[in-house]
Amino acid sequence: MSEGDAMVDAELVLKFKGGEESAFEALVRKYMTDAFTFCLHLTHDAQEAEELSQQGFVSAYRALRGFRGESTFKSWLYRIFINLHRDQIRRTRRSEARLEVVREETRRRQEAPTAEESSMHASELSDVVQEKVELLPARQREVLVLHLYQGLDYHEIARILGCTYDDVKMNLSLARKRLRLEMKEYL
Amino acid sequence: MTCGDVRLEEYLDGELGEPDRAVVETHLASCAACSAELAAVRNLEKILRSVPARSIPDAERFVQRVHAGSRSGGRVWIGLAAALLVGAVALLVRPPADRVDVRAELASYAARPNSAAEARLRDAGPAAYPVLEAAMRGSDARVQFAAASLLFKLADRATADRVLAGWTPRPEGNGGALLADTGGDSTDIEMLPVAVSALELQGQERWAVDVLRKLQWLSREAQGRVAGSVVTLLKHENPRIQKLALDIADELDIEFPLAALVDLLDSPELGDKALKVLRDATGKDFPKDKDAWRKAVLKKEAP
Ligand SMILES: [Zn+2]
Repeated sequence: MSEGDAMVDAELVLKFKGGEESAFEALVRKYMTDAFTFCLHLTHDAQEAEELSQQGFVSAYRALRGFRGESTFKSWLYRIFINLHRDQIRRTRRSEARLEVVREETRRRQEAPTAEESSMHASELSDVVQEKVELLPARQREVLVLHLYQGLDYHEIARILGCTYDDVKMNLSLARKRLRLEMKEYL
Repeated sequence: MTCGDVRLEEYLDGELGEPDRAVVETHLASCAACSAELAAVRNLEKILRSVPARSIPDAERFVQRVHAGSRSGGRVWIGLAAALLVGAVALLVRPPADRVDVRAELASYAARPNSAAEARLRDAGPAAYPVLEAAMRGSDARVQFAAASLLFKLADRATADRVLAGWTPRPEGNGGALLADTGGDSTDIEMLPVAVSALELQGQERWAVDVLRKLQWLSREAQGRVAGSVVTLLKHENPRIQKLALDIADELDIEFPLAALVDLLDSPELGDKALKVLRDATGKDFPKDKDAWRKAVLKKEAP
């Protein structure tokens, strides 16, 4: 994100705090596609992603009064999505259930004949990618998704996740190592 | 320079500045192993990026839903025409601000947080603040927290800051009050003392933890204050609060001084959880050995 972009956001935030409600709508329109894509990578389900991103904007709306501009609006917003997503996982305990499904699926694939694997279609490959990414530890997955699909640099990711540059570097590296190991038959 | 020292991934990710880039490139030119490693990571990224991007199914519906969600929380953001319409209707159906019975609305909100009461109190404007402020010093914990929560939501920043500076919540007043949703969506850092006090109220832990978790989004300063509270709570004399603090430390995604966790390692009830949080926070995998962890933590936290 360019500095000019961040300044436009800061102005919109100021306008919103000054009572101009339409400024928030401008922020929603500006970031909704990025937000949706990001949430889609976190949830791997279009409907959940839409709900999560909408809910994130609603939370942002409510919290924006307390936002003091110490990070960019975008970093702050992404942090909300990440926290909401973690809340959701905790609340529904879906993660364990899902993990079980994915593990089951992985076992099934591993036992399947290799001929089936070699004829794998592109869409199946992207399913595999999504499954493997989903199985990463939360911090590794978040770093990877922010890097890969949002194109953010280490410093920006560190700001969003509230961690250090070295944490980002380490987690991204761990995620790559693990994915290379888990996906070696597709690489 | 050995291959282990090469900052290959930072190079690939465009994180290196000029002198460092050149160092990596020089090494790559003469090292087949590192070149192969770089190619392998590039290939992985290519595969990972091949997952098709998708756009929102319906952008207008998306905006509408955010709009509706924001409205249900109290404040409304809408287009100008709609605002004028709603304003006109509100004039017809809402009582004049000076006729709002602040105490009655507060009682209704304290019994069960509801947006109707909140909206009427909002209409009452600054006239409601002194009443809310007085209620924050009352003996009923439920009303105290409801009043505080409403004041955060409704008052301007200066008023909220002033009132909060002089407020100490008294959770002992009427323990077990139903605070579940009161202020649940407040994300003002000044809610921190409220949440910390609520932790000590049986039955309010979930709410308090939720507020603490939300507060960490606000700013670095907020993170620092939340972290400070967690560390204090880890040393609390009541093991139930210590356990909660440990849960929070586990759930919160912020950096905080880890030494307080090391002290818990030999606790029979809390040692295992403390170990888990330490491992998650540091990425290290030592056994439950206080000295080893103390060294690791000190090293990590050295300036
Ligand atoms: Zn090398």
